[in-house]
Amino acid sequence: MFDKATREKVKQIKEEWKQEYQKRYDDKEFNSTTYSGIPVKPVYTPEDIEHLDYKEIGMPGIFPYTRGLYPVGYRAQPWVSQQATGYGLPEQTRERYELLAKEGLRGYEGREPPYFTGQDQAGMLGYDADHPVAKGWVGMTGPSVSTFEDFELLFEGVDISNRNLVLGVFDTSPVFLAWLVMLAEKRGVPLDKLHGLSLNSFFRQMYLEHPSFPPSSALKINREFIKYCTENLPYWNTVNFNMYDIIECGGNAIQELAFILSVVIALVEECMKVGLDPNVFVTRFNFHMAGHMDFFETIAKIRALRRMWAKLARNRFGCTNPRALKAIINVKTAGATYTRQQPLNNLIRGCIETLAAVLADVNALWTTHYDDPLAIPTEQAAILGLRTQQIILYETGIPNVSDPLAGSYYVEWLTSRIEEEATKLLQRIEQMGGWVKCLEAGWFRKEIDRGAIEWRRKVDKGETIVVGMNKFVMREEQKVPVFEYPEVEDIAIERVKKFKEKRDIALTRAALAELKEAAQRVDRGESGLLMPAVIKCAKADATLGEIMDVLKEVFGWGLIT
Amino acid sequence: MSQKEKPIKVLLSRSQLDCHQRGLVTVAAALRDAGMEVVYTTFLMPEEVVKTAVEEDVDVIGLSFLAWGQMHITAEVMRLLKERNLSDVMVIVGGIIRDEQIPKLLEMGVSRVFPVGSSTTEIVDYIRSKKG
Repeated sequence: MFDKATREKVKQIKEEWKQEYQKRYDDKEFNSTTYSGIPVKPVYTPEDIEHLDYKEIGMPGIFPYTRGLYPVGYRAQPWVSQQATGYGLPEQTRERYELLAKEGLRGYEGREPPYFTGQDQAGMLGYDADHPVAKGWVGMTGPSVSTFEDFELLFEGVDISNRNLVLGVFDTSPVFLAWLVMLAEKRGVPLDKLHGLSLNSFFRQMYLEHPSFPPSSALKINREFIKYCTENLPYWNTVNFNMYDIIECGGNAIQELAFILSVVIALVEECMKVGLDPNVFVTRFNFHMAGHMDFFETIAKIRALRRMWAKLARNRFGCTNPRALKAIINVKTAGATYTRQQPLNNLIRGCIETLAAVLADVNALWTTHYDDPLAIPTEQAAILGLRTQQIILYETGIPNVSDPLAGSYYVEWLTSRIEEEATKLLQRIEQMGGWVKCLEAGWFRKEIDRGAIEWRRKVDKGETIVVGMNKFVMREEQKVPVFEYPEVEDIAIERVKKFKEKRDIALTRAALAELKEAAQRVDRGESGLLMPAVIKCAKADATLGEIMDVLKEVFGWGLIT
Repeated sequence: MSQKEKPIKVLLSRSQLDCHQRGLVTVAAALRDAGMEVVYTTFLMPEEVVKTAVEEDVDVIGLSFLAWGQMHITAEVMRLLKERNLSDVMVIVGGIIRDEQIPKLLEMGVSRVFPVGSSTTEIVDYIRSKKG
């Protein structure tokens, strides 16, 4: 990186610094560690990055994309504001989202604001509102969506051809996509006009204790999902590789990178087995990272992911399409860093974490609302999340320059260090048999739980300080408004019942039987059958729960640990 | 306080619908560190909690809620415990619980509520003071 004369000069000045240091502090040391435990010195110099080839840093828009995906960053295309929210009935979620759109939610240049939907906790696991398991959970933390009619209500008046649609669901992604296809056909919107993303965290048992399909089945289902999208919805992003929840559940930045890349490798290999071209389908992957309180580590890990991804896609998957080498990254500020105590402090945490993401040139941002440890957001809290981003975008001048921290000795050193550590960890996972084996063995969860337990011990001992929680505690808590859920359970159940009453049940049953057969054939290795069969069920008025029951029966379902 | 021969036995449980396990995993580790015996489960229906509590003969049930469910599930668990004459099993609740829900949970017979941010030391000390 530096010529001989510069290196000599650095050495000389550093010697002077050492003398000053000793005069002032004697032999005292000021070492620390990042959130992920990487040892950090009190100051960095060119010596720390002299081994780096400038090509590793490069320019924005140039391989390996350390500095961003496009030649110019936010000056040309500001980040997309991707705030999500949902509760109650579909129309209530839609109203809340349209309020955010009105308040200035940003979409991609030339497009309307995004539309980010999800479903409630029962729906996420494939239970209709009228299932006994759903009692007490209907419309909580997401809208109740059990049928195509519910789905239609969610999108009533929403222009699906000009908005970035986010279907914020996991294992029910095939059902939601089938409904979107139905809606598009009903409205005469060609499928290649649909832009958006299925969150589709089929791998979440690596960090969450949440029932799902077993990993080898999940790979088959998603191979089918990707095949269908590649052939029919070319602009649909098929998987959001959720790294956010890895750190949220107790992991660290190195695990965020290594763990998720092991999933990507497993899925890409599965898709390639049935002849899908990574140069095409890989372009539809997204990455979802946490904006964390360790400011520089957040910046460094985002830059490191872009570099690691570009190398992995090129060297391992043989991708040549530049779009396939670019990791689209969306960041959410870390809910687990927020506190219930003195909740207004979370506005400051959200701002710092948003700023770190902006300084690392991410593509989309979700600033977690300050009242996250209390409930889903009030209107005011939801708008404040958005305002945080708007103030940074319009008032600070920060977005004027792409990747402004490039060249910082510390940031470049830390970026490389995280890349090295994550690469080593990824190799270890592969030596242990890769993602499927490690997940089945409960290894990921064990590693992540250890981090969670360790963090808590440090907090309880006061070694890790969380302002307002274990230091500067106030007896009188700040009172802030808390969102009140509307009572919707009865209405949601009534809607499902009515939907079931008026359908042609023989038609529904026949479609479900066909789905079962298609799923069994997919399970045995055939491909291209699953999504058409799910769509047929959706068109035959099968409910979410009915379709999911078939998939669960054929592919298996449950908790791994 | 004298050392009991049998360690305090605690059932920690959460609904599978709620994907947040971090709090309960942390509490489980703290209770084990404090020498208690921990049974850790997840459930779909409240009946499963009471069934496990009976089978395992626990002294304490700890329920965790971070994505709702606290009022309905806790009420059901308390009702089923009473129905089976198990009112001596102490129930504690933790997670994202609203201030105004705390008195309601206590009224149901919950012994104490530990909202997010509570220290594990507080939880350990409380269980010991009641069941040690």
